[in-house]
Amino acid sequence: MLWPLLDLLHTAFANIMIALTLFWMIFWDSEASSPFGRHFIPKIRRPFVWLGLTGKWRMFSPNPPRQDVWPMAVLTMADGSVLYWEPKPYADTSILEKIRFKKVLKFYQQVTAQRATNQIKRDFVEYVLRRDRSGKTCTTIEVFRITRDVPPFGSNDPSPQKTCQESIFVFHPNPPK
Amino acid sequence: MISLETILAGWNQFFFEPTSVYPIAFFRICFGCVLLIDAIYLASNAQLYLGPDGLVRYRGYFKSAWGRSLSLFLYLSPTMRSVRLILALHFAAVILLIIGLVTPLAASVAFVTTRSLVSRGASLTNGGDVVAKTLCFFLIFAPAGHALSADYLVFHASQSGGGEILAAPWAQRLMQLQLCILYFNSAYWKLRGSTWRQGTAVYYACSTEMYRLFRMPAIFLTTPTVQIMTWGVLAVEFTLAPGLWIEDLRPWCIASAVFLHLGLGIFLNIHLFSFYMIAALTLFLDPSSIERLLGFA
Repeated sequence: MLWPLLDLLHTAFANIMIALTLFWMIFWDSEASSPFGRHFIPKIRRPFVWLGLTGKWRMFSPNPPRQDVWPMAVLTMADGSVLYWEPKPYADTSILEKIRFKKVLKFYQQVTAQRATNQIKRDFVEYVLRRDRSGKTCTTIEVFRITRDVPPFGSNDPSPQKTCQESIFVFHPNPPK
Repeated sequence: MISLETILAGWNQFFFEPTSVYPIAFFRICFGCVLLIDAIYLASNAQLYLGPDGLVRYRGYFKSAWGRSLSLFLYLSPTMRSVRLILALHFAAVILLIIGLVTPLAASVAFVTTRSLVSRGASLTNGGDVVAKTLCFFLIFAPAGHALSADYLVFHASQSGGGEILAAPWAQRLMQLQLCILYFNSAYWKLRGSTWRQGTAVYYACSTEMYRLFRMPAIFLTTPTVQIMTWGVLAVEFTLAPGLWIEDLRPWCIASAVFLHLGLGIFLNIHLFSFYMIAALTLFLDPSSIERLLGFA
């Protein structure tokens, strides 16, 4: 009596899970453009997001980046001195360092992304402050996005590309009195 | 017109007709090994990547993840002791998964810990992390411990009597479909970009220092080589979704996908994405080729 019931429950569970998962896999990422997805996806979104089944599969889409981007921080200390912090240039980073600190490099990319949240910029600021060994009190820290274009495809110009900088975040860890 | 009975019969045959468990068992071992490498990588810099004072502050993480993410970090105190505990649990689960001991339990724990580790460093993740947690989830429901495992020796050897071990492959099918959707979506979104259509995307991908691992020789970054590579990537990704299901095309599709992922892994710094994908492609191997590979045949 028990085994057939368990078998039935297992079959029902498997079929429901297959149907829901397939629907989610196909439509979740096209929710906005598909009327089908727009109506049904919000109804099943919560458990799938909670489980983390949210792969977007859009690496280098629609285009790969055409510039190198990294953050720079300018720390103004209470005594008026200024410190500059910049990560080691990508070109000077060895293969082993690139592999070992891949997640740190990813962090820099996320901090300087166009859609970076204030939360991750604040994370970055605190990371820089922890690395500061000057022993001085920092009053203001300003974060810049530094960009350098990759030479356009087919360009024969050997001169190095210009770098540009843009202020993206200002934080006062110890505001001046 | 196709009748409902035909559709249901096709559904049942595709998802539930018993098939050899060798491919899913072999995948379990390959995938487990990549998870283990990833775990060693995380553990070597645990304080920075996962610690309460690491790259991502705990307070901000808790605020954004609470109620939205399955993560053990949310239920433990924000200390390095918790990080070490979760990593230890993860190591234990992954090692049990590789040797195939109490496989369903090992897969469940490995999924929860993988999900937790990926969630904790959500802004540090890449495609490989997403593939890892997704496939780990489906592995919970797969008969991955029915062969090439300690579970086989303990529970299944006497039942199988040395014959082929068969089981309903629905979880394996979901993983295979997920892989095909991944390739198809990847190619679909690329086609929206002008550099992919013009055939210059590989030049830009390989020329940015922030993504580069090994430098591609300059001779390959000129016309027409770069166009051949760019359109080749699109062709391979579009072909894989249907091609992996066609028996005659399958070996060629798997070989071209492995070649593509090795290329990506050499020239682009994308962590373990290529290895996760190559491990996932073993889901499409024939049982006979796995037996030959392992010297059983």
